[in-house]
Amino acid sequence: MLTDQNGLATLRTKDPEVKPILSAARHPEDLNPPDLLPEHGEQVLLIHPPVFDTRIHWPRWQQPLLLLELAAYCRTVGASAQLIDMLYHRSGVRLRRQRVSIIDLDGIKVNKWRFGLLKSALVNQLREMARSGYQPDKVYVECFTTFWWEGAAEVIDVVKERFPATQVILIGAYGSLAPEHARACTRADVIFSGAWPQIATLPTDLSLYEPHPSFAYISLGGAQRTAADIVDEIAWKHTHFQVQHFAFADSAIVERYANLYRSILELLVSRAVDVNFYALGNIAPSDLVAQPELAYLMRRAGYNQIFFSDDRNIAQNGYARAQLIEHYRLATDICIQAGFPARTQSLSASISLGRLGEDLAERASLATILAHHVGSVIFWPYQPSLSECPHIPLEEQNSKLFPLRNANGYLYRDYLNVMGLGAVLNSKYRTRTFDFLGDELIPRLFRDSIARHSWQPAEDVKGDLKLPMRVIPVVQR
Amino acid sequence: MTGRSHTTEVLTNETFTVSSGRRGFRRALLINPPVYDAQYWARWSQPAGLLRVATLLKRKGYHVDLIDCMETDAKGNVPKGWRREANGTPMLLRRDDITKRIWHFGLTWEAFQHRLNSLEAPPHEVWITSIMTYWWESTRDAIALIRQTFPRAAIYVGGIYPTLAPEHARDNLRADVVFKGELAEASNLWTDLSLYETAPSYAILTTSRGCPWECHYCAARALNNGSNKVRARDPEDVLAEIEDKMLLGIRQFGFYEDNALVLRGHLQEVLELIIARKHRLNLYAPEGFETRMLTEELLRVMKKAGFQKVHLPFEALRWETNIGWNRRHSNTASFDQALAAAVRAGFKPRTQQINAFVLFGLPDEKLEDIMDSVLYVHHTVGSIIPMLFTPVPGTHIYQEQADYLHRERGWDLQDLNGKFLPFLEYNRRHYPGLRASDYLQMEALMSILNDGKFLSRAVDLCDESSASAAFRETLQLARVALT
Repeated sequence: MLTDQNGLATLRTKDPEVKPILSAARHPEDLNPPDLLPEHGEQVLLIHPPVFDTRIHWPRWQQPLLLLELAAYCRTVGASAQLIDMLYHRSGVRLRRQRVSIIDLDGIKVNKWRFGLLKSALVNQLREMARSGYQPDKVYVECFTTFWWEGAAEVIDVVKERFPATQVILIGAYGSLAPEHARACTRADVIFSGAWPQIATLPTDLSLYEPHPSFAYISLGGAQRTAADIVDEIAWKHTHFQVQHFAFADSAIVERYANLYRSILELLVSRAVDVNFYALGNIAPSDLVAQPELAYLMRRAGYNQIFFSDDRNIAQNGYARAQLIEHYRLATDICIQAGFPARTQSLSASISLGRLGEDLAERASLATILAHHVGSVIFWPYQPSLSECPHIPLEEQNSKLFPLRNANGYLYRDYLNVMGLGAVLNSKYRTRTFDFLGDELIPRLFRDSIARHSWQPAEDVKGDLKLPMRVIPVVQR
Repeated sequence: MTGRSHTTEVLTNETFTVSSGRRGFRRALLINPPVYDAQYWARWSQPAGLLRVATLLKRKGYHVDLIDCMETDAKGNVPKGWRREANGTPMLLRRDDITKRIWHFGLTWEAFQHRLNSLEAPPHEVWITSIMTYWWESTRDAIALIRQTFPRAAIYVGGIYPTLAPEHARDNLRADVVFKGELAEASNLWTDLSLYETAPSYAILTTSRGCPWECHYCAARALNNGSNKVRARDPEDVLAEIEDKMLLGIRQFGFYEDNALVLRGHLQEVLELIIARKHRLNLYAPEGFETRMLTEELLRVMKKAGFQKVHLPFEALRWETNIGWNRRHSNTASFDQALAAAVRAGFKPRTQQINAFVLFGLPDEKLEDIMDSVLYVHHTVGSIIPMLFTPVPGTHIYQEQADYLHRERGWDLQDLNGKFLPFLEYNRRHYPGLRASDYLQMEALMSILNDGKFLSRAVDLCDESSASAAFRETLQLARVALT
């Protein structure tokens, strides 16, 4: 699972390495995780808040996994759930945005937006619910990532205004990683993070969406679920909700759950479930080098695109870099043999951008080389931990703003330039990217022309400004 | 002109007369036929000449109907389907190591037939425009269908193809009349857009004709009957035409001229009239302007009048190449000057507000020079428009290469489509390993450099940023390693 990168769904509380944290803002004395779960007969409101950010990547992939699992849990215990997903928008409709401020990043002005359903729309919706007699017993607000806290705070404020007596429970990475901040900056009654074993193995409930989304995350539930259960969930979602696109939410899926993952793929193939899968940063090229048969299975199971995991955890030295390049080269060869088309963005290398101590020229060079081997490359802005930038306000720790840029001796513009290079490397002509390091004639001519500095020709190459003037022979109107 | 002959006559303005009579005395059907090609750009492809003829015929008393097979839908798209071989299989063009599918763009023959059958009454005359010389086959097929449907109608074909290749048209089309050159009476008339059921979103304007220069790849001289005279319409008349079209809701206008600026002050006068009338228009000149004549003052007027983009005919970096094409009035130095003026006038580089043509696919070209041109335009402008060369009858290069193309290669005009790389084998004399896919890759490179945008601006791989420098250095290391 991608963690806190580019606005994609991030840290999941079911991941085993995350320790349960329970932190009550208002009533700390006698709460424990099971008490916070919906109970029989309760009315539960689930809210996915708007996002305050400069950009929101892949908005349709923003699905509140925890809330949807809670919704499923409600069914099992006999509670009734309602969902307000403020980021949900119909396919083909642009996600609504309002400018909230302009940020100055080393002299570059960047708009900060509020993405999602208008605040007034939420206020109206809650008012209508209250008017019809609806009174939630619990409200859950899921905030994926720390620097999106403003959306959660706004939603909680609105809920508290309308339903002051209702317990509001903040879940997700924000509360987990920055509980003190959440306690100080939101009006949540409870800031919860941790594992709810009761919900970890439940399939998400998409029935609360209208229309149903075409995309769904699937969770392995910390390997507590069986392959058959997971494939049943996929088939059910496809059949009943017409979901066509799926991604597994679990991080490092091959490294952590190789056997289960393989069993799922085999079952998908044998049951011929006709859906598309996307690997969103949870497969490393080394996984496929070590287990090349997985690439074949993935392709046959319906994988359309693999965005490999980035190199944030790989040492910044020449040996590690050379090994990474080699892994990418081999993994790409394997994937192409398995049937993934070359240079079509079905495969994308991922490069972490924004780590402390990085050399941007090295990042750009690595991107150029990986684009040669893999066909396309994505820069994942590095999300520093709170301890890496303790003096920067939480909302400015946004990976897309490269909060460690000045510590690295760079300006925001320098990072934009690297991202821009990525845009060229990924640019396609008739579905294929261009291989600047290719062996064919045109890439060779391009490199030769670069070597000649042909964009800076001598003046005598350009010709003289004293051009012949011609007398116009006849002019008539 | 009345009656029709059984053999094809080639007529010109001097030997052709349009008859006139009381309103509705004759019926004319005007046709813009479908197109067979691997690609087609529908934008700015209105059959302006035919629509001027419509105006003329109406004035002469004709009842006029129009079937524009290439009319676009609301999204600006033209229908397309496979062009098929006689046995029904999709037509493919295999060229060296690439294969291109040949499409039938525009109305299908069935739909065309239906439109012919739906006419209120059979026409006395059918006027067909035939534009590109390499599109002549669809004109031939349209004529066959028309002749079958209206055996008594006289069929006239005019336009660029019959003007540049009248003998070819005479021998191949089975029309009654092949009209060569301009129909002078129609030259300065307004296009009649009322013939469209749905008014088009744009209109084409031709405010002047003729060019004093004779670039070896250009057919302007031949299209103007070998004359280098420049003629211009009265700017007030142009303004009146614009205002007339504005009544149809049209706000986009494209200037199509042989050389819009060579008659100093003419275009500026038209634009100043637009400004004076406070019209809010979107103006374009997709064929470009002579760079030498693009002053900052003119560019400011263009911007103020509503020009959204500037197209600059860069063509080639080296002055010798330009001289070799008899393009003595333009070079990179004048391009630089025009570009700087455009930027000062408010057109933004790297945003497609400024675009530059790079010409390639010519005989004896140096691929290294083309690549240098690509990089230069990429760096200075950011938007490269690839222009694959087509040897057009009537041009100097065509005349020089006609023997090679027709006798040695055995090709007809439809084979000379630039997209089919007519000089691929020829250029192997200098580049023995040259493949068709190399040209495709050259085009791909230009497209990719244009599309490589970040924050709405084309990225410059040749700028001073550390990212671009690292990219170039990585390429150099690979180059050295490969060497």
